[in-house]
Amino acid sequence: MRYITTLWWACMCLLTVFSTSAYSQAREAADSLFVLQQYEYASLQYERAIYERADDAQFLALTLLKKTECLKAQQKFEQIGSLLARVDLSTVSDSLKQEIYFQKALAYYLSDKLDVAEKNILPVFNLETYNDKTHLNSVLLYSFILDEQEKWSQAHQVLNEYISQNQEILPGDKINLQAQIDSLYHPSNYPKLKSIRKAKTLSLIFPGLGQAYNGNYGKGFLNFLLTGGSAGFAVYNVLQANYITAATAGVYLFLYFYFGGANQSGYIVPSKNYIKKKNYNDQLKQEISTLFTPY
Amino acid sequence: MRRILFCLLFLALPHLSFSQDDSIRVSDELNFLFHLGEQKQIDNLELYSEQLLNDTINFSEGLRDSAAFISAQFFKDFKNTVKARAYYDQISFNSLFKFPASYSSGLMEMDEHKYDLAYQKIYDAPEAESGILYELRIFELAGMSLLQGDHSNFELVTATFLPQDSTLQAETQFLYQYNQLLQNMKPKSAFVAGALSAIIPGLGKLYTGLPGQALTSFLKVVPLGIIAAENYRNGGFKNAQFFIFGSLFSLFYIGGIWGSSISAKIVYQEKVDEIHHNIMVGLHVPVDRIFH
Repeated sequence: MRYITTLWWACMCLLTVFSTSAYSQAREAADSLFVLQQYEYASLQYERAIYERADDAQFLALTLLKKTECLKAQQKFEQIGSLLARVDLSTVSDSLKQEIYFQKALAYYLSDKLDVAEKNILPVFNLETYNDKTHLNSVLLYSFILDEQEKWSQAHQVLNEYISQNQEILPGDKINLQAQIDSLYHPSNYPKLKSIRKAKTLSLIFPGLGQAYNGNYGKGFLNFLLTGGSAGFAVYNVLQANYITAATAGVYLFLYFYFGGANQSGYIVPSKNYIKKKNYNDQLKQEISTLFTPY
Repeated sequence: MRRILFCLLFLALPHLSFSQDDSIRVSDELNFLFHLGEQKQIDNLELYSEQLLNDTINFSEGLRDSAAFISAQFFKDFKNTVKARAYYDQISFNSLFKFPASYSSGLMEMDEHKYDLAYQKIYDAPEAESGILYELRIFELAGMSLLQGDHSNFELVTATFLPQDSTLQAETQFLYQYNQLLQNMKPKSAFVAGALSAIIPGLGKLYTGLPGQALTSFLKVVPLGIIAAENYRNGGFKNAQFFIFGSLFSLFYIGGIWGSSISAKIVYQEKVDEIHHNIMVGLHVPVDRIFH
């Protein structure tokens, strides 16, 4: 018994020694600063820890992930992609890879770089071993990325596949979850986005009609008045025998308002579409996050 | 008790092995600063530089000068000239880094067209009595004089200047040529340009060397004049359309005359700016070659 006790103490001491050297002072200081919400200083200390143990790939990855948390707290999302690119992914475990891909994708998503975000989230689903929580977060993030890209049916499919393949969700809950997801992603709920081309064509057929199609009735009426007024001005000058005025100023004003109105109807479509899309996607984000909170 | 001592010994081992002397620590601080720069951790680099530069108790002036120079070089690479200049300017006069720092900082001021400040910074740089640094100083001061438009100072500075360095020889020849060009260049007459535009709209712009703008001006003013004339012919002075188009014509006609007068000066300034740009490029060449 005495020998066992001595051996246990010796092991504990050895463990303490190795854990102290493995877990650098800078990293400890950084963690303390992070807890105190001193993110700027914590970020510097994490970098110091990395500098001191440059040859430890696992340590580098873990510390960079902590530094990522500092940058997220400082809302410096655009720096995260290049920061995590410093990790050599061939040297880290699948669960770390998963976390790195997820954090990169999240940072790009928050910086509105949706294509890059999609590229970074997709490898998560090809990993053999993974953390369930990060996997769920990755699925949700992927669905949000697809929502922002207006690929609602694909996002719907991704979520349904996750629910059907997940063993931890009870069969009754699966049906209930899928029903709610189906309801959220029902095509009748999709925002009715307007077409720029259609708005322009309508404005060319009848001045102001493109703006009215987009719901901007006031702008449409004003465009109709200006185009009609300029045409009237040209006709009036013809009748007054001011042919040069009619052919130059009259025609110029008419063409300016006619084509200007058509172009304007095209410009206002994206801003309206953006608001509609944002409202729908914000609702999706909120409701889907609530639905998956228990998991 | 034996067990506790056994544990304490194990705990103390790593700390004993990490004891280092000050020179290693100093070198480590600078290496870390390099690490931050190389990894493009700009925020961390700035924060750490500030920590080093403000710590007058633990770090000598030499270390702080080195830190300021390293940080300045990285911020220069990151195209953040404001911060780079601020770090260059913090380097003490006796430091070896003061030579490149003064020239780099001066050239940054020059790039922002603050020629007087640029001249002053290079003038205040440590003086070498002979050699390449002595020649560089004369060359840079001569170039800055040209940028300031001080031709007499240029001639004074270069009066006995015969550089030995081949790059400086070639660049100095260019400076002589630019000096001649700038002295011989005269702006076109603003009065003539305005008068020509009064006779035929756009002609003044053509005279100052802007044919595109001349055509635009002509096509704006002449149709408005014809429309105003037609409305006057058909409706007389009280015709509202004559009033509108007549006013527009007058506005563009007078604007054209005014624009032509101004363009004489603008075109001249553009030519001067082009020469100044060439001078500035020439002033960068030897500094980059010598200090990098």
